[in-house]
Amino acid sequence: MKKTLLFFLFLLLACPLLSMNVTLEGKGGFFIPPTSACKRSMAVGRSMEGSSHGVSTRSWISMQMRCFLAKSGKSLGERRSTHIRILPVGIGLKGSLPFDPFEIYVAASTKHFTVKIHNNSPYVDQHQEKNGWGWGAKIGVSFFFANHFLLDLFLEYMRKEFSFSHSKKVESRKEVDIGGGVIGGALGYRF
Amino acid sequence: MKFLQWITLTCTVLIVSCTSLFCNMAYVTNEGSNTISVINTATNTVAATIIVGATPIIVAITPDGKTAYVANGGSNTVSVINTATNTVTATIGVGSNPTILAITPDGKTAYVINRNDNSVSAINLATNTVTATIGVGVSPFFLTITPDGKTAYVTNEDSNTVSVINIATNTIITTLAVGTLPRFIAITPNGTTAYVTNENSNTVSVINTATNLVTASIGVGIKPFDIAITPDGKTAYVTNLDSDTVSAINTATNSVSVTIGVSGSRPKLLEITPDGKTVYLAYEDISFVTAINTATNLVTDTIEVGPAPAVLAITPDSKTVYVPNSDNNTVSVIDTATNRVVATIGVGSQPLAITITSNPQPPHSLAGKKKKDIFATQTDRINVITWSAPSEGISPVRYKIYRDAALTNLAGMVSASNALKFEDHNRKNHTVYSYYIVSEDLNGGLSTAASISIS
Repeated sequence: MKKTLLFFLFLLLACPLLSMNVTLEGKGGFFIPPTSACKRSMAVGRSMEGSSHGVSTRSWISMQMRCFLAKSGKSLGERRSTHIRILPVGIGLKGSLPFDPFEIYVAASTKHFTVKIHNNSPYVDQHQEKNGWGWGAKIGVSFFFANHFLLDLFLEYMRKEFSFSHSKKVESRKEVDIGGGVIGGALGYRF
Repeated sequence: MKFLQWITLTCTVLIVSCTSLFCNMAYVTNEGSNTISVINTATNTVAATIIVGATPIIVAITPDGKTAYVANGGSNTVSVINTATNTVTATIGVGSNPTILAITPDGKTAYVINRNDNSVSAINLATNTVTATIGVGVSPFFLTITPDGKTAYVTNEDSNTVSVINIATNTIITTLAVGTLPRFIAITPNGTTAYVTNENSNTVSVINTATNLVTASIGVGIKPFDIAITPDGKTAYVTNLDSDTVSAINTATNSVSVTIGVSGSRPKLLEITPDGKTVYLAYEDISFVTAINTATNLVTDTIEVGPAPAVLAITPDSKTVYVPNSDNNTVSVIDTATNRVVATIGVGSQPLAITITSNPQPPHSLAGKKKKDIFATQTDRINVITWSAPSEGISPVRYKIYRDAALTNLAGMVSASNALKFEDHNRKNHTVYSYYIVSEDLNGGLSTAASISIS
């Protein structure tokens, strides 16, 4: 995990050296879990929350580092609190079509997912953590409203299936799709 | 005093049999030391010794098991004992020479015979005060209460009568003439018939409790004394002091079906196991207890105990008989499986009578259902069991939930003060689960199990 983050950090820092335009964005989004159980269990809980920030180039190479995607909810049945946090870090290709002051773009990337789940029940595994590689696709539009500032609206889909093993004698699900969709917006600064 | 002892010992036997007490703690009156010895029947050790009034004769325990009342014949009082702490919490003044004490099934009132006053005191158990004193016949000997708790019957030794008391009004309904020297009364479990032994007329009087009329007189052996009725109500057994026999009365025909010769002299006190399979009787003259098989009406064993065996008391599981031995200050413990004495417990001076606390009743209205608790990657399948507390008897302090009928695999425990619900987590789908729930009282006494399966 640390090596992956260091790798991406290295690439981001290398962007200016590669004469790429770097955009720094603060993002907020609405995370939609993909699996039925995940979606249902989260749907009965508090409203979704999610935030991210990242750095992307203006060229065909896109790198993103999100702080996290997170959601809290209640289990279906006993309504015990449950939380999921996902840290997806990706690198991929990005194509953009400028319509000044707008810019439409599409991107596809491979992503490294780190997932942490906390379930507030003594009868299931309370802490679960997994990481692995998946993929993501994104479409969005940026609006440049000042010299370097931009407003970004995007729709992103990510996919990664994990098999969770459980220490308790609890009924578990295999191949849980832990990615999902994000509808969000961002305020950025392009250097 | 020997005469009094004779009376009180026999009375206690009948109270035990009439109320079908189930045991876990045995309260022994020690007439000579003015104490109560409390025996833990699980370990057969004395758990406590309680100082009460002079000449304690008999102990009666409330249906909820929380309080014991002791008639102190020599101090004209009734001691109130908290069974949780085994301490005296109150002393109630009653009439002269209180001997026999019985508590109504609802646990609200106790009735005490005042032998020298020819009266019965009614005690309100909520306030521990005497609320009425009811005049009865001459030399009241024994008192028992019908299973519905509406009527009390008192034998009057020297007036050859039975006084019938209306418990609602604490007044005499009627006085019935019976045989000479009436001793004990036993009432059938369905409450329809009362049987009275008449020692000097060698008969048993049959009383219809609905009409309060004597409907028959059954000739038995010489000097009938004690009487007990089997739990199915079909047979009454009577000890005949001077003919060394036990008469078995068919309650359907009110006739003696068999007369059983016993090996000892003067069979006096008897008790029937709660399962109805065996009669145990003690003798006045010898240090033995005899076991009679109720299916064959044959003597199966004669067991040597201590000198002057008195009132027998039997555990609710029918596995153990306790016999106080008045002349050597011990209690003999008989294993009914082998009919051998397995322990001898030292108690106070002149142990007279034993009363054993009841076990709680099992819970009822069991219900079960399945539910799920779904998380993103896991599902907890839960079996939920609910039940209701027993509606009568001792109040349980908690419930134990087992997974097997042998009650060896404990799944959990639920305090009686909490919601009566048990959740069994992480169960498998498409699997049948069975649960066995027992009530447990303050002293660790367990009820039989109530079971439920969830599929």
